[in-house]
Amino acid sequence: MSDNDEFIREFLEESSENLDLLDQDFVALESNPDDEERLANVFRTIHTIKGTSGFFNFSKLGAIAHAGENLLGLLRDGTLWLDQEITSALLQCVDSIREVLTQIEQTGAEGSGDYRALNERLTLLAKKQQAPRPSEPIHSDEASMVMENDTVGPDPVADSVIENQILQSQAKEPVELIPPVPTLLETEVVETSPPQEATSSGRETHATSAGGSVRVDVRMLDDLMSLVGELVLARNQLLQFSTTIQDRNYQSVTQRVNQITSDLQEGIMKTRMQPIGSMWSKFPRVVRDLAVSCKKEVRLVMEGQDTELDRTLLEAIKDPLTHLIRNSIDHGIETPEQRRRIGKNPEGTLLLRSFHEGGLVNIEITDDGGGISVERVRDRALRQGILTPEQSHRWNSDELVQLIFRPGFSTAEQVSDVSGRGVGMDVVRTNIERIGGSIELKNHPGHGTTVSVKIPLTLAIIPAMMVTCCNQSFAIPQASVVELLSLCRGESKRFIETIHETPVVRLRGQILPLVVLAEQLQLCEARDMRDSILAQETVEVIVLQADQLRFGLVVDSIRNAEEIVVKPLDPLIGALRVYSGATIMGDGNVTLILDITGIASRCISDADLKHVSDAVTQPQPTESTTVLADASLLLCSIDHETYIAIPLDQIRRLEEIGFRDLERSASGDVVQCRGEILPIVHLGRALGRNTASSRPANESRPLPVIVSMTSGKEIGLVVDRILDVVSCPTANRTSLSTPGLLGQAIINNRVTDIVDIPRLLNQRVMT
Amino acid sequence: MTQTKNIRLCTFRLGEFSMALDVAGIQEVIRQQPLTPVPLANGLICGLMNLRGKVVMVIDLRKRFRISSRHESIAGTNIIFKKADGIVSFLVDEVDDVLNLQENAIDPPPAIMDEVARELVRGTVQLPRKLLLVLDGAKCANVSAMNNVLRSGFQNKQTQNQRTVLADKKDLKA
Repeated sequence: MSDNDEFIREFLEESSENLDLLDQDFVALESNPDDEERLANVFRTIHTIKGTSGFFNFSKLGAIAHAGENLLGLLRDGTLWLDQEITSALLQCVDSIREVLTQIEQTGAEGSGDYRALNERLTLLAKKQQAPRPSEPIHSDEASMVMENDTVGPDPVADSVIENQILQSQAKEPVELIPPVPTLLETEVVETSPPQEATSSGRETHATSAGGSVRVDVRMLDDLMSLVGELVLARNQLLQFSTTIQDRNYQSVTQRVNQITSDLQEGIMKTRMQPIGSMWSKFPRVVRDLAVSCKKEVRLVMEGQDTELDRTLLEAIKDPLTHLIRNSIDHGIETPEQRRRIGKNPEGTLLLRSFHEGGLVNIEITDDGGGISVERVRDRALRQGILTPEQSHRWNSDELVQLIFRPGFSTAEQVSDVSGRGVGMDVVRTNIERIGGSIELKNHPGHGTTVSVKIPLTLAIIPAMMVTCCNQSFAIPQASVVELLSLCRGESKRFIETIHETPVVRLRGQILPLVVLAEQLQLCEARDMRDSILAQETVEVIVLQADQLRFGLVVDSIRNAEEIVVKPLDPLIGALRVYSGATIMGDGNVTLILDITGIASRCISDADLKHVSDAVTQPQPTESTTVLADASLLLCSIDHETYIAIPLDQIRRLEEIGFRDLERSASGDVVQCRGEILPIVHLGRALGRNTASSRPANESRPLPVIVSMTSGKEIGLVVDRILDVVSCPTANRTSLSTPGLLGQAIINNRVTDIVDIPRLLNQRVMT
Repeated sequence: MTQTKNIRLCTFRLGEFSMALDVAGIQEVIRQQPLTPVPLANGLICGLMNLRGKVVMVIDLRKRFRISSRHESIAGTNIIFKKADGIVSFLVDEVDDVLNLQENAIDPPPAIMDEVARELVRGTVQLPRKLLLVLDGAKCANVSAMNNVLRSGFQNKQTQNQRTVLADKKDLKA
């Protein structure tokens, strides 16, 4: 009995590996029906499944495979040719075989699925009088291009093995009660073997044994990774120690250890990486099925399949990418008739491109369809109440197009099975942002759209804010940090008030509830400790956003921002819902990572705070943040008499530099900031206001620098003084045609220019 | 039938008691490491330690058995125990030795023992000079009652209800 089980398991494994290859084969065959070798492969796979299922007495499986094989036999002999109808039927046949195989894997039996209709369809097709085949296949040119792209991709054997692994572990879950944690999935470490192996010869043999690869549990790799992390720490200590010992042999040994450690670290990092093509290999089939169901002609071109990224991330971006591809085909690319009418190639092109840039993985999805109609977005948004009429006049077309990322928004005229339910783009964005990525849409009306997705190389390392509370360090993920506040004594007296026993501070017209970390973590015992903390000389507050609630976390001090490696916690500690993980600092000590959502929900269960948070979130819970962002300005002065204001959303952060830190380079002033070169612009000079020497009267006074982003790069703007953050109702602003200025407004009884940083800088580049 | 099985026990000291764990469940023994306390967690969890890049929860066995806390002069030793869903460290006073004996040398825990202690003790072994308490590692590691502790005000309230196991066990010895 157990022998038989072993055989069946092997059969299942091998079959599902081969079936995954079939998907690709069929799509390729459809556009290039003359590829006899591929056809023979397909035939052989189905034949093997048929034979083996007869051996194990799986009659249903045998029947499906038999019907498929018959049809394929006719194709191979040239009696029939592969048209769309037959391809669809055969793909359905493959899907059904996969279904039955999954059933067998889970229950040991073929299940109750009824495949007679499919079998009939296949038999009918085999008897069908087929229209004579067009002498010159229409797509053969492009098709071969697609094929090339296909074959230069990563080893399909590896992909299918991985897919198979995933299928298996998913299938096993109900039986073995393994929690569905993605890291439990096994991965495959494969040396990229030449693609030829994936075709005929490698196929019949057991695919896993090809290429000398080993299956390794992801947890094992994680373990190795943390060991290497420790080794790096030990190496660092060793290197420090080695400077005190003047022994040449010792020195050379430490050097070697140093070198080996670095190589080892790099190697281990690489094992977790996988080429993005391993995931993309599913897309030709997805694109084909969608194009058929939308009655469109689409050519998929893929570039940069060998771009590598962390395996867990690969899993995480699979669904969002599929969704984006669907959108492009369903909404973007026009029907062949429409395309012909406007003089485009009836076949639309979908370009998938990925590359590394600036430590991030960039993925672009470009279609040459009709683009997004800005008018339609505007009308729809107005009708759905997402946009106010006032905004609709002020926003430019780029800003309007970004509305498609809002929840509940859809421009599809009618809901199709594919898309248009309005749950699309916001979910895509949420999913991408959850893994620390960003998404951007470039719209060229009439010529198509480009969606660029930027994601970090790995999930295991996140940026975090290090804080201390009662002499203990904690890490807060940057993703939830909105801003930092430092309330000085005079101000804190003025600002901190109490509603329902909860301390709050008024921040730009909003009520921000304060949560004292020391009290929440019960690091101090007496309740009046809170008052003494809030009465301190300066109160450090981190403004955090957790789901719906925005609150200020009061800590003792805010140390620095750091990239940390996230380590899992014991489930017993995780159950507290206060910590999301831990990290090991440079000195080898463990630091806890705060679970902001968890802490927020703990606070909300506090009835007092609930009151306040209700009061805060009640008026338009989601809208309030955008209104705030629209109207908040950073007020600063560029010389003694000129005040300017900069919209907060154009500002990344504020820094202070010493005048002597300024360095001159050919392209202008620069400063070294956090290990990077930050170009400096003197805002006064840029505005043409301050032609006098930029040398301040007092060189020891630090220069305030506003760090802003322009065309993807950070740039520092030197001002004279940073004064305040003010909220200025947009109605108060007057538009101004001066380039670089958004307008003027009366702030604190002074006429103040509102600067538009990106435009100002662009204009500067031009002149 | 398991009576004849050989068993190897790692013995250690905890206060004035001798205790032991099955060697099969132990990954390694290392001296006390710097600990990071976990606020809000059960008082039995004395912190997190860095075991070669892995973050490991440390349970103070003295607190588990409600024995008065360790004197500063005692360095403490971590016994890294393999539990079902990972590893955990038991902080003990000092590891002694490894004993080879027959499974049937272990007697069931005496009925007069404190309820908490009996829950954690798998059995006893009568050695010439002392009585050895053989612990059930999995049960010692199971401190999920932390929320109860939390509700009752979290900070070591255990000290109040120190219904000393000690007294009971002294009876045992006598």
